[in-house]
This record gives sequence, structure tokens and C-alpha cells, in this order.
Amino acid sequence: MKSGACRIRRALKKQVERTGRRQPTPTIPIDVEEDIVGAVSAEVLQATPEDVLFLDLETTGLRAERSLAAMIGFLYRRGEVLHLSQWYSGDAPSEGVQLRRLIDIQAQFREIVTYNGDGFDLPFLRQRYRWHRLPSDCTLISNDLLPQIRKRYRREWPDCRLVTAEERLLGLPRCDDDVPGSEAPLRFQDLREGAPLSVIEPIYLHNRRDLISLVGLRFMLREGMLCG
Amino acid sequence: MEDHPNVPSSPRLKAMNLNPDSQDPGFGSPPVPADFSIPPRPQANPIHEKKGHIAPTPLEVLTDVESRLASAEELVARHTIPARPAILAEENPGLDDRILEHLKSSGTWPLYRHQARSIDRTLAGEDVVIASSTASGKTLCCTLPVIDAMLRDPGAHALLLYPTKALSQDQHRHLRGLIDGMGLDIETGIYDGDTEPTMRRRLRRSGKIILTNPDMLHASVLPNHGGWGAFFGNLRYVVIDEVHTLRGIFGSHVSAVLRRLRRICQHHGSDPLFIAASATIRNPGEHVERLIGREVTVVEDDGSPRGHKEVVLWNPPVVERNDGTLTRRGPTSVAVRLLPELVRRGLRTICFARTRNSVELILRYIRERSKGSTDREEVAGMIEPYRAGYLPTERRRIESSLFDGRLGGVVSTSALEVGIDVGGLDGCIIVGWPGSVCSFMQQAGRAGRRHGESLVFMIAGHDPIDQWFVRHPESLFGSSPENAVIETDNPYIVARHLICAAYELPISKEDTELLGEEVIAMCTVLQEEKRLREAGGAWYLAREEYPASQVKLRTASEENFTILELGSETIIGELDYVAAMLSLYEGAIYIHRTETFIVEEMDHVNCLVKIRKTKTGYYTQVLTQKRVTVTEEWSTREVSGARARLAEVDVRTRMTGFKKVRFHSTENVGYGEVNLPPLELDTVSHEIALDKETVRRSENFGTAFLRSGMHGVARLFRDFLAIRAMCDPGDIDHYVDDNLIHIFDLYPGGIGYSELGYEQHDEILKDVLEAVEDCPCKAGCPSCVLPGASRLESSLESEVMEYPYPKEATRWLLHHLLGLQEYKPNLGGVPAPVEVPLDLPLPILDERVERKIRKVARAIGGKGR
Repeated sequence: MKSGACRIRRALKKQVERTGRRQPTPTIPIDVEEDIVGAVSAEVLQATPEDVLFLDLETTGLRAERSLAAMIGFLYRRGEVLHLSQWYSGDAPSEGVQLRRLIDIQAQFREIVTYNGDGFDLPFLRQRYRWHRLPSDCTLISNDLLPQIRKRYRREWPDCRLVTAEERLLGLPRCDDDVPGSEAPLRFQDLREGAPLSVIEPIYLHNRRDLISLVGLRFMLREGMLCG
Repeated sequence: MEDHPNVPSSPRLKAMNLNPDSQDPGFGSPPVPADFSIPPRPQANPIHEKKGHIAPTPLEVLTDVESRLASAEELVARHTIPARPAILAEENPGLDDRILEHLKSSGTWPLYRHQARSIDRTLAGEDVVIASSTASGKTLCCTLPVIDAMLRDPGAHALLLYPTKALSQDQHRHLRGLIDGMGLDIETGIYDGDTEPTMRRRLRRSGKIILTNPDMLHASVLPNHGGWGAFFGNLRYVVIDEVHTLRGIFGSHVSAVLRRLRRICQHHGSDPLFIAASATIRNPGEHVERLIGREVTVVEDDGSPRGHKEVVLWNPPVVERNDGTLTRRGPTSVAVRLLPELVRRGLRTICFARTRNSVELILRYIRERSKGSTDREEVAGMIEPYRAGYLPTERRRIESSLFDGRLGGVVSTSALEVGIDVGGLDGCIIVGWPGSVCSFMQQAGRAGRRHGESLVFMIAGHDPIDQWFVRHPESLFGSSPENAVIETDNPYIVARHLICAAYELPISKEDTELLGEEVIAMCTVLQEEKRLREAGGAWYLAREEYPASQVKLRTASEENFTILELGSETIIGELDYVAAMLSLYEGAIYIHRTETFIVEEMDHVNCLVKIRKTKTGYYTQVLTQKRVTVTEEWSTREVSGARARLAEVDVRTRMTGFKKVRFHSTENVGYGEVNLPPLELDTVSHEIALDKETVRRSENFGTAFLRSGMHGVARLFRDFLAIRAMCDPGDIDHYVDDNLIHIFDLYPGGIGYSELGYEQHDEILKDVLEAVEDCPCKAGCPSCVLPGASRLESSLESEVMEYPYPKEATRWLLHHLLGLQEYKPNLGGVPAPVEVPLDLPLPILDERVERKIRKVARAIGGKGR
């Protein structure tokens, strides 16, 4: 985890140097690319096919017609590592660039794994694709983990949020510095209004943890390792 | 009646008491407009009822007015518009049976010929414009196909655009009446600035028929189209009512908004048909085609019936002033006597005045005159004013009082001119030329919408256009000379809407079809100006903003000056940038509701003008110097005596000072200094460059002769171009420079008026010559070649101002420019001819569209000039 945070900090620092600290709206995409080793067990890693894409969006709001997919985070396995990409866009033009890139990425996969993706991430993306006048039909098989978790645990758990599932199924409590995803819109807004780039650093970390958790949860659901 | 193929005993035929094949026009029962219910007509006004009198008929009142209120010389023309029977449709369109049943049961069946044809064409999938007279049932042409679509496809939606909020309200009542009358469950609603947030949400979610105005569509609906996905995705029809009002600056903006609308519909997967309704103009088809960017079918064969109407042109007499000079009595003074007289005799009358101030003045004078007489006071109490600026509830109250007969008369601006149903009125008084034949017909049409007889009085002012129509009443009733003019290529307008369009959806090459061939080139320039940003082949807004809020559709300038009264510290008005520069300089006298204020400070940074109430015996007039530079020639051709040229020009107006003019006597009582930056206008001009031969021949008559004639021609050319372009003469300006007459649009980038002047150069000059020759004055007057006191003109050199024969000079020049036999002016002793060789200045050519777009990019970015 630490190495991931360092990379994120480094990327942000570079961006600050490039654009100046008081740059109100970073329009140049701030991309983080990282090969993660050891975040999941070898068993989980081996059971994760290379044609599965894990996806998690952080947006500037809930209504796609008025919001941006400000951070597109995705992860996939390549050999012994999990490759993480986190693409930030501070405005519509950057978002358009990222979505075009995402189309090319998606074409390499068969299955897309999300947590509530059928309810939020994928329709949000579709609408953003349409707004950018890009082809919006996704041919990947959607594997939304939330309905599966909810089916099993909705009577037992106080809620079925990803954080809860992580904690109860993977035994991974979130660190104290974790911010809830619902804070993302405000932090993105702060950044656009001139706050330093570090204001969105926790969002990167949060998104990264979400994606790694998806790998573990998928494995548990596939292998029938869930209790109850 | 029995021989009608469809409905032998149609209530519509019964109500008209007419046989469609009969040659007898009939004067009996009133015709029933197809789209309205019939209110009970009051037999007499409350005064008559109280006294047990029987109200006289409008024609009886006219006879009395002729004998009591006016001399024979004043009533210069009387024109009878005879009653006309309905021409009913032989075949009716294939509307849903439920609609047909309703029409039959409500007495609006069979349809009139034009209604059936327009609906038929709409159902056949064509865009249609219906151009017919007031109360001819255009509303049904628009609403029946919409309801039909809803019945056939419950998912269908429709957008109805009206130029004003008041009209949306009125039309919504009618639409609801129609839908409820059929027992249908279709959700409709008005979405405008007055709509509550909860209602807005509801309409966005489930409204099937939305009524709005172009401003709201532009500033609120299109930018948030994401929230209207279901609506735009299933939009079947767009109805544009009163499409003739979408002309000039407003129309040009609306054409850009409609292109944005089509683009958004395309994005959501629909391609709606357009149904437009227009008053009678010369070019309804061409106008709507330019407006929506597609071919349309024109339906003009008006089959509606009408009642007998008498139109009287009233030219107030020429009277002698105290100083011995002659002047024509103002039209207001006639209206002040005539309106109470008509109301007293039981005629529900509407009186149209040109300005809000005139409305207030007429009513004030009527009330002043009524003091001391109970009867008169009672009559005056039955008359109310109606104009913009009143609260909507107040306006609704006046409309309904007029509709149900509680009110005897109303004095209104043109606000009541467009289709608001105030019931069948008996009389109409038009105070001063309303600006266009189309407006005249609309205003006159408010009287007699439902009754057999009605009276219309048009009271002329002293302006040349008023006087020209007084002498040519036939022009009012023949085929319309008026064109609705819009400019779809004005870079100032296009660039503004391009920025708005980029907010709605990124702009790409796919947009060239709807937004124009040059869209990508314009985007590139806007990118250089940091308003747009290219990414992945699409153009986005370069920064977070809501551009639609900065683009106004009805005014030339986004920047307005607020007028603050010192002392009371209240804001008493607002003026646009140009008007403020010309009238609110420090030391200027500003007149507001007949009170005088002196301008103490003009704060350019905050766009604030501070004024203080003061009593003065004078008003102020700015003195200006103009310079017109041709920057690019678009087209040129030889015309008689000159070369006509259409060109882009730079007009630079420098305010050199101001003069103080005493009220009433208009003598100069002093001068003041003005320290303001010059006004710069980049526009399009129709140029008349006199040829050497014309100039040489004019030398026979002295040096000021030609210049005086050029001023006369320029001034009248502007006025008569305004008639043809259906705009206010104040939207066009003129300038005379050496041997060149410039007639140019007073709007950055031009709005199309000059193009019309260039195309119809000869026709307009013929009108001008007729106006000059018909004017009974000898040497020239404000009703022909001289500037009227009410007109703001650039200062004329004294030799032109003082030239004693302006009319003769203008006639001579007009004969030259029309290629007629040389006119021999009657000047008395004239100097001997002198041969003077002259060289005409050549235009400078330049490429400038790019600069305009840059200007727009900076202007609406909030930094201003």
C-alpha cells in the first residue's frame, strides 16, 4: 500500500511542478500507473484471469449529465502483478481524452468487475460516452459484485457497502486516513477552485483500495468461499 | 348548407349564418374562430345598461364621429374590408377519430380550407408554415397534429414556442381546453421564468407538451438537455407561433437557437417536424426556411371568414404654433378625445400606442379631461392601461376584464398585439404608425375578431412613413411589402451560440451540417482565444462557465448600464451600452416619466449611471461625428447615376459634445463637453456611390444642393427600407460622406437589412420619390425630407441644415438615381454651371471574420469592452 501512496504522491508532485501550485484547474490528465505486487495472495492472483477488468469510478456528482468521471480507476492482472491505472480529469476535454483511451483498454477484456457498476458506474460511463459523442455500447460481460453480496448478507450486515464487505469478508479494515467515496465530489470541487493537488490524494488511495478489494471479493464469490 | 359534403348541419356554418357557396357576404351573426369558444357579447356597456340605452352599432358610431369629432380633411381615407364567408375544406385530414368527434361536437367542423391543408401536409411529414390573418384558426393547425401524435404514440412529445410569456399563458389555456374537452390525459405545462421549481421538475420528468419561449429554451432547457433526455428523445413536433415576430436581432438569435435545438434532438435520437404560424408577410416560406435551416411547405390560402370592418385613416390637422410656424397636431391628442367617445358609446375598444410612456400619457390626459363631469369620469374609469412592466397578475386581470366586457377600453403597447385573446372588440385606435403593415394588420385584427362590424382608426403622426401611408392607404390592404429579415451568418451571433453549443455537447465535424461549414474554422479561432479547447478531435469549453446566461437574444449588447437616482437611492431603469453612451454622459438631462434628472456620474467600471432629480427648462442632445470606412466589398453593381455596393464597414462615432435645447421652442441655450471613448460598430452597409456625371450635373445648382439631396435620399431610404424589412427605422442608420450614401445596420455584424436595401434598391427609391412628390409641402418638411424633431441624427453641417430647397434637391437626385427624365428643380437664381472633375474614393479590402469572432470571445467572457 505504501508504495502505491508514494507513487501517487510522486505523480501529484510532478504535476504541481509542471503546472504551478496555484493552478486552479488542472486540465492535463494526472495519470498514475502502478504494477502492484503482493497486494493479494498468490492463490487469488492465479485465480484472476487476465481478461478480467476491475473498474471503479470517482465522479464529481451523481447525475451524469452534469458531472464528470473525474477519476477512472481500473486494474487487471498481467502475469504476477496487478496493473493499476488511475486517470484523473479535471474538465470535460480531459475526460473525453480518458474515455477514448478507456475504449481501447476495454477492447482487450472479456469481463468487467465492479461494485454496484450496473447501478452506477456503467450507466454513468455510458452517459458520459454519449455526451462526448463516443460509441457507448460496452460488449464486456458485467460482473457486479454488489447484488451477489447483498443477496447473501443483507439480513446479517448493517449495510452492504464495499468497506463493510472488505472488513467482514477480507478482514481488511480501512485505515484511519481513508475518506469515503462520497467525499470525492467536494474534493474535486476544491481542487478546481484552487486547492493544492494533495486534496485529491486520499481519493487516489481510496480508489486503489476499492479496486484491490474487488479482486479478493471476486475470488471469494467465484470459489464459493463465502460463509452463510 | 345541406350540400356540404361532410357535415350538413355544422354548428360552424350555422353560427356564421352563411352558405360557403353564397356570394352574399352577410353581416349577421359573427364568424366563430375555429380555436376559441364563444363568450357572450355584452349588448351594451354598463353605462348603457344603467341608463337603459341600446348601444349603437360601430357604423352608427362612425357616422357620429365623422360629424362631431373630425373635419372632412382629417379623415383622409376610409376603407371597407367586406365580410367574407368561410371557405371550408373539401377533404379533411386523417386525424384520429377522437379529434374529429370533438371538433364536430364543439362546432369547429368542418375545418377551413387552410387548416385542413396545413394539417394534411404536417401529417404527411412536411415542415409547414401557415401564414394567414388574425383569428383565422392557426392555433388548430398547430395543436391538432400534436394531439394526434400523442393519441397515436403515447410516448410522443412536443415543444411549443411563443415569443412572449403572456402568449404562452393564453395558448396554454386554449390547449388545455381542447385536451380536456376530448377527455384526454396528456400532461402539458408552461416552462418559463415564472414556473415554480417543483413544476419544472415535474415537467422535465413527465411533461408531454411543453410551452416555452425562445429565451428559456436557449438559457435553460438546451444547456440542461441531459435532464430532458426522454423529452428530446421523443420530440415529434416543434411549434413556433407568431413566427413573423422572430425577425431582426431576435430572429437571428432564434435561428441559431433552433439549430442548437435540432442538434440536441439529433443527439437524443429524434428529428422533430416544425409547424410555424405567421401573420401575413411577403416571405413566410423563405423566412421560416432560414430560421430552421430546412425547406418548408407554405400554406397561405386563408379560408377563414371575417366580419365587416371599416378602417379610417385620420390625419390630424396642421396648426399654427405660437411662434407662427406650422406643425401637425400630434396623434395622441386625437386619441385622447376619440377613445372615451367610443367607450361611451358602448364600443369595447383597444388603443395601441407606440411607447410605454405614450400609454401612460394618453390615459393621464383622458383622466385629466374627464375631471368635473360624472359621466366622463365614469367612462375614464372603464379604461385601463396595459404594458410591459406590470405584474403578470395585473395583466391577467386586465385581459380577463376586457374579455368579459367589464372593461370598456384599454390603452396598450404592442404587448397586446400578438394573439392574446381578449375577446371580440368593436374598435381599435392605432396612435401613430405601428412600425409595419404586419403590426398594423395584427392590431387592426384585434377589433372584430368575432363580431359582424368593427371600426379601426389609424391616427397618423408627422413622420414620413405615417404620412406616406396616409397618402397610400391602398398599400395597407394589398399584398404585403414586408419581409421578415434575419441574418444566419452574422459571426457575432454565430460565435456566441457556438460557445453555448459547446457547453451542451462537444463540437465536432459532424456539426458542420447544422452549425455551418465554417464551424471548425471558428472553433479554431475560439480555441486561440481560449474559449474552446480541442481534445481528441472535439471542441469543448475551455473553462467552467455557463455561457447561455451571458447571451441575450433580444438585445444587441450584453452590457447594460443601471440608472441610479441619488437622493432616493433607487434604481429607476437600465439602458444598453450604446443608448447609454448617447444619452447618459455627465451633464446630460435624462427624462423619466416626464421628470427631468441630471447625470452626475457615469461609472464605466460598474456600468452604473448616477442621476439626480432636477428642474430644468432644457434637454440635451449629443453632438456626434461619424466616420464610415469600407473594409470589405461584398458585391457591387452599376445602377442609374451611381454604383450600388454592399460592403462591410467600420462606423466610428465620436461624441464631440452636447447641446442644451430649450423645451418647446427648441432653441439652443448652451453647450457642454463630453469625454467618452468613441463608439465603434462593425457592420454591413448598402452604399450608393454617386457617379461623376451625377456629381458634375449637380454642380449646376450650387455646392449645398447635392449634399442636401443626398441627406434627403438617405433619410427616406432608411425609412422605407425599414418598412420592407419590418424593423424600426432606429435599427438602421445613414451617413453621407463626400459622394457616398451609406445605409447601414445598427447591429454588430449586420442583421440583413442592408442586404435587402441593396437587393431592392430601385423599388425603395421609387417609394421614396413617391413620398417626396406626394408631400404637399413646398420646400421640404419633417414629413418628407427633413429630420423630425424626435429623431436622433448625427449633426449636419450648417450649409445642409440651412439649405432652402431640400425637397427640390432630393427630387432631382431621385430622378437621377431612378434613371428618369432629368428633373428641373425650382430654385430661383442659381449659380452658373462649373465643371469639376472628381475622383471617387476606393474601398479598402480586408479579411475580418476572424477578428469578429475574437471580439465575441472577449465580449461575452465577462470583461466587456
